[in-house]
Amino acid sequence: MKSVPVLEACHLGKVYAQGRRTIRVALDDASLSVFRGSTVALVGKSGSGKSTLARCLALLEKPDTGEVRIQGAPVMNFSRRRLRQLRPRVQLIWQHSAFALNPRIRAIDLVAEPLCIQGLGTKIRREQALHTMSKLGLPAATANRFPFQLSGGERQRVAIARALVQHPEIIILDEPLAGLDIPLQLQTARLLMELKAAHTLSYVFISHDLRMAVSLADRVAVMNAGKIVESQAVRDLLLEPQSDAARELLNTIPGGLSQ
Amino acid sequence: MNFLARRALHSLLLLVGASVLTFLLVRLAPGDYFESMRVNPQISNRAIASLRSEYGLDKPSPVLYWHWLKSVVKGEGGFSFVYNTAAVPILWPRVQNTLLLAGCATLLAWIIALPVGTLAAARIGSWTDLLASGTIALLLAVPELVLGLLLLLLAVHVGLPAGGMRSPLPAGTGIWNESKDIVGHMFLPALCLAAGLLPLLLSHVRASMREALQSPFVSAALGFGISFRRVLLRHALPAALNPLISLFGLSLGLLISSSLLVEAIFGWPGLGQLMLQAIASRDVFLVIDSTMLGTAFLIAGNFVADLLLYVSDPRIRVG
Repeated sequence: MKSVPVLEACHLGKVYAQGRRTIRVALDDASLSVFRGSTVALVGKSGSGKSTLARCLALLEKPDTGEVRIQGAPVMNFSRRRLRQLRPRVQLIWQHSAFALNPRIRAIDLVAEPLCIQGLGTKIRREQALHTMSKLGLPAATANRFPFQLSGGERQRVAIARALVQHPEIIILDEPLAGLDIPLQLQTARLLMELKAAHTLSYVFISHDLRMAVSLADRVAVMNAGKIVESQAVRDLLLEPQSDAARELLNTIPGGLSQ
Repeated sequence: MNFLARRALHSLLLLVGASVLTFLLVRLAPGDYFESMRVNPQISNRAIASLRSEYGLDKPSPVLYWHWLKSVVKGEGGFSFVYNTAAVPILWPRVQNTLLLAGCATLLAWIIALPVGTLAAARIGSWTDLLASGTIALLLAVPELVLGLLLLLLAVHVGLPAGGMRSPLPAGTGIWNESKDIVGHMFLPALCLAAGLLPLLLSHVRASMREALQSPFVSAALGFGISFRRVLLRHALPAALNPLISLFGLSLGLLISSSLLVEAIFGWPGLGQLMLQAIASRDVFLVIDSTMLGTAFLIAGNFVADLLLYVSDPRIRVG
């Protein structure tokens, strides 16, 4: 029996108004399937619609056309209450964690806050938050610090801890390694893979850096001007890219990736 | 603590600087209280010179400033030539009346602006938003003077007190009835003053909240499934606070000086009327004291805003 994708984008379309007369097509018939335990890399140039697709998949933005399905169930017409109940299953880690973490709230409270929807008391929430933070290698001293007192790597781990604390099934990572130095990028990538194996997570890994994307993903979807122009297994994409956009991205890698 | 000590020192220096400048500007203006006596042929020049000498007005400005400063420390605030007594006992009851009126009006404006501005920002394009925009445009277009006169007209038609602060009540009227009488008199001037302040507060609350609600951390919090109400109160409102705290400091600072015109329209016995009289009769120390009170409130308002920012924003407190 064919398995059902845990998260599915079906023919999504999204248009933004730019001024009174012009429009910008952010998504154009974009379809994507994510299966349990897999990592799909979503690559493309800046402005190709990756972040819009991420927000639609995370149910933070409503597409103009098409639908998002979770475990095969179309969720776009769910009531606000049912959507809120669904949200913990799909988590989005934002491009710049410095902006996505409220600077006035301490790290431990930021991680503990999503648990309030389960009706847990403050003490239990903080205990669980501390446990998740320690699993991610965040020292206990960081718990009571504000985001602006943390390093870039620590902030990224707090953002990941905040997503993990609700035990999600799918994590959408929007350029999670942007702004980190190379050793920190490798360290975070390794951590993400360990977490994926430990919790059977599915990832949608968004990046404009094809090199990092192919080293983490099972499949790669290439976006261009709001469309998904190509979607295939990593090896096939590297050996036989079908679209100009994919070839263009491969050409940007110094020395190539064929080996 | 460094931040607060620095701000306190800054405020003190500003106050001293403002007092020197005020004193100099008042002294630079030609003539004084006794000069106006020259129009009376029965008073000789010698008598005027002797009066000026008696009250110390012939002394150089630095000496006079020093005497005034000592008098301020003693709680007298100089001497009123018109009332022939220390300035502070004349000023104090008027200041209380002004603070009562301006304080109530400012409180009323904030009580309306905070929830309406927040709701308008949370529901862009809704009826609340349209109502807020309409109110801002309308109140900005109507000058305070016109609004005051319209309210006076309304007072005459509906039988509200149209001037002053108290009605002549018989002796032995209880404190409750006296308070009711003052509130009745204060209603229209406070409404007029609040209407002047409201567009400024409402537009700032709406703009700050709108900006805060568009922050990535607000979207991120909503993405976790946290309720909109909790996100609004715990994330958006604190994020919108900084500009609002500065505005609150300014509104505290304007308590003394914002109501001068409204006091004149409604005959409210506040500092405004006294200041106008003091300027007309060149009662220099009353003019200096009134100006300095306005300045002191403005500086104190800014200091309170700095203090609140220090308490509310960890980036200032810790960073």
